[in-house]
Amino acid sequence: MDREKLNKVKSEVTGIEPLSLSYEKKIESSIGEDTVRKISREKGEPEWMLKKRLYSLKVFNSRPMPNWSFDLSSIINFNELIPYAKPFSEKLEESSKIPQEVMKVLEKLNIPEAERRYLSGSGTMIDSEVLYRRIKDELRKKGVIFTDMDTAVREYPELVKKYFMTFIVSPHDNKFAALHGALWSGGSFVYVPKGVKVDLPLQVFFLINYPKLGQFEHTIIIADEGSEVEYIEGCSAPVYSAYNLHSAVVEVHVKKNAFVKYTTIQTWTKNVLNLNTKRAVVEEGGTLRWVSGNIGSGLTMYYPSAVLRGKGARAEFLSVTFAGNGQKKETGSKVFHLAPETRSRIVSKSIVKAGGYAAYRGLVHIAKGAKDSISSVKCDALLLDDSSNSATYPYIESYESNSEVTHEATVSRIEEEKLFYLMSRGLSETEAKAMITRGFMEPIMVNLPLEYALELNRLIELELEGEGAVG
Amino acid sequence: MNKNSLKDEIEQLKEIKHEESKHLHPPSWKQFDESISLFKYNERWKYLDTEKIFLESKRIRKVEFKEVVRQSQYKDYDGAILLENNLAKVYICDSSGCSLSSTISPDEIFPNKIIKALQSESSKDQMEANSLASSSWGSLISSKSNKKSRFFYSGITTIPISLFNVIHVDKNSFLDVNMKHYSKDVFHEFTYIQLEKNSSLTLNVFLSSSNYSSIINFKIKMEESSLLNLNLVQSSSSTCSSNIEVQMTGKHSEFNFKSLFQSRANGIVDNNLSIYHLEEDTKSNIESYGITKSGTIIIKDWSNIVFNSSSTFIKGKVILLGEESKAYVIPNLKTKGNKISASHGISLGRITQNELFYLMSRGLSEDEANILVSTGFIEHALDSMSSEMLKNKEIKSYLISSLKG
Repeated sequence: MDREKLNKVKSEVTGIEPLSLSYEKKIESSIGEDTVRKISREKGEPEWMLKKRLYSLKVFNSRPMPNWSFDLSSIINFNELIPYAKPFSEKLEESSKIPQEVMKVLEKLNIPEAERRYLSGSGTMIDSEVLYRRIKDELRKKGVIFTDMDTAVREYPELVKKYFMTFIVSPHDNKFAALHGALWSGGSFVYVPKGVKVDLPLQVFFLINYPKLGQFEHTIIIADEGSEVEYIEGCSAPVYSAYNLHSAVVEVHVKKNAFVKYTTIQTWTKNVLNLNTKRAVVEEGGTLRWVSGNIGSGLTMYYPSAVLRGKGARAEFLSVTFAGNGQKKETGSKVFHLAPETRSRIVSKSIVKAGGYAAYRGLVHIAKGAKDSISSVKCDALLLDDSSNSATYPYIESYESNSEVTHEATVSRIEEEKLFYLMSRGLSETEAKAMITRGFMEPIMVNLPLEYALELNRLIELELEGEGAVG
Repeated sequence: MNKNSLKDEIEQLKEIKHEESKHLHPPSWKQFDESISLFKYNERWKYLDTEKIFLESKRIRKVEFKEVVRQSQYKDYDGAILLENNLAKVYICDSSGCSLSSTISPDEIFPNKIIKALQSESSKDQMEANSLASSSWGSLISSKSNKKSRFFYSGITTIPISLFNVIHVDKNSFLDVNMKHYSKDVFHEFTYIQLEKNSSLTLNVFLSSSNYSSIINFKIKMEESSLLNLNLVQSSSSTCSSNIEVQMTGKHSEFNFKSLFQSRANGIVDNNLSIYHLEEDTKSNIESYGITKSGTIIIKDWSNIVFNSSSTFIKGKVILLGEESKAYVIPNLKTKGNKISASHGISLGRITQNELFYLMSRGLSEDEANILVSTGFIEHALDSMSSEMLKNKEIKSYLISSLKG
């Protein structure tokens, strides 16, 4: 790619300036019961949700900080965190009503065009609230629900009560899940009825604009029996000197014979700490495909997991992680095989450059009785220079003799011979390196929608150029 | 939405069993780590001033073996130690025969204060404490510079015992040590190994333990251009733990580790291996095999590799034969820089259906087919170790017979 094009792409992706929004409501008090009550009141929530929030707060206060991997307690000061900021007063369903300034950002990221061309529904969340959400009328008629969580709490309380931080992710899971439970705001609620196939993906874009804000969006995806849906997440933020915390919880329930593809392309700037809890429960014959691209964020701890609890359930995790200068990332997948004939495949690729750190930490658990289960894990790291770090921590537990687990990992560099071959054919060193890197990521790229694969390729090329695509 | 179906779903939800919800909310990684390791890396090593032990052991080297008797059965070796409970016979062979020395007390090798430090440390593990309080014994095996030597160690113990060993490989020398131990009671071994410049050590270890727990600890230091081939075979019907720490402090040093772990009956075999590549151009190759019918196998490999031109390769295969068998495999890698190469590959599971089908179509029962394939697996693992002692019929048939039992 020539220099001119690169600069254009760079301005498209990284040219996000802080938006000068007039915040209607901000809650800047420290995390406590008052704050939680204020948020709940602001949203006009029913009593049961407030109870859930207060319970989560109790759990949050009692849980210690995670004590493995990165030392989070020295980075995060919960007292400085701003729990809630609402930039707009109303929720929009017409893209024409989106304020000009926000529209500019969305246009830069090509979102309105994407919505017209290849999305079934689209949403935008800025800071703590969802600004815009729209779904095609034909899907609405079929009974597909695609709305924000606040609306779901009001309109579908039974479903939300059943799924919201109950059996998929509980507040007891970890300290950040508990914090999320207390302060959550915004996010998506997707319900696909029995047998309905949503051909085109649903997409939500997240933006953090307010400095020091914690974004706690909650997403629930329920794919009823025999249904199919694809959900895409993208995210961005302007560069600030103070950090932002992004602590989302995503709960996916894949029912009998359903199919869910969950794609997340994370391009947060380096001042964002990305500490998410994402989990799916897959029932009999269901299939989950989880594709993640972790490009941005200064510190990421991200372990999407799947509980295969129905016979013949399948899960596939594909992820690309890029760690450049000043980026520390721990990603990996956890799969629990609880039923017979379950299958899982984990492919994790990481590219590390300029002193970055990328680790794979994953778990495969085969419970007793999960007969004929098969799991394969492959994690590869490509180290581009001498100052980069990588680690793999795979955990494999098998309680069932009638099952198979394979694991392989490699740590490699770009080989001189390959580079020499390409350069002898007239490519510059950077082009040759980019080409080899693209080849390294290919197994993941083929699983992304074309537009996203292109964007991810460009982002990685930018990073390889040393331009720093993500702040 | 149909309200009835929703109600049904809520009912279903209430029925989620406690067992299942435990899996849904797994413990944190740290708790995980802790729950898996049966025996944490032995704290006692902190008290062991290894440099001092080494110096002390050098000092007593001249007084160690005095009396000489002829023993033709160990003529292939330069020395042999036979241990039966608390009685040890030490043979040192020269061109004319072997020499026998009286039992060496560990006090001779380890200064008193170290022993006391070891004994006084309060241990949570009662078995370990018992082991230290009971009979202790020690040995020093060393090679002379520019020479090639072979040693044989054989032990059968039915009482609690702890061993303190030092293996010292002098500059430019080759040492071949074969250790075979059958333990029917608590067995606890500390071995400190030092390889000096340009030296080579082949250490073959076979340990079988039943009834009570056994723990072996190796702490290994490798200097420039040294080579260590460590072959370890562990078979246990109780709990058997091995902790191996390798520090590669010299350039061009190479560590090859091959192991076979078999857990008999309800035994637990727990292996913890940590390798520190502390210099450039160091190599390590790890190959682990595990097989169990109704026991548990734990393999934790940890390789830290940060220096240029170093490489580490970890490979493992675990076969689970029976309904009750379990395995945990955790091969960790920590790397830095792009001038190293590292990889690991693990497979864990049953004997493949194709193999079973082939054998059963030839008239074997499923059990027979399982045993035949497992026999092949064990033989392949032992043969790859290229050690006479481990290839020996005695050990092969011991491992295979326990599959049938």
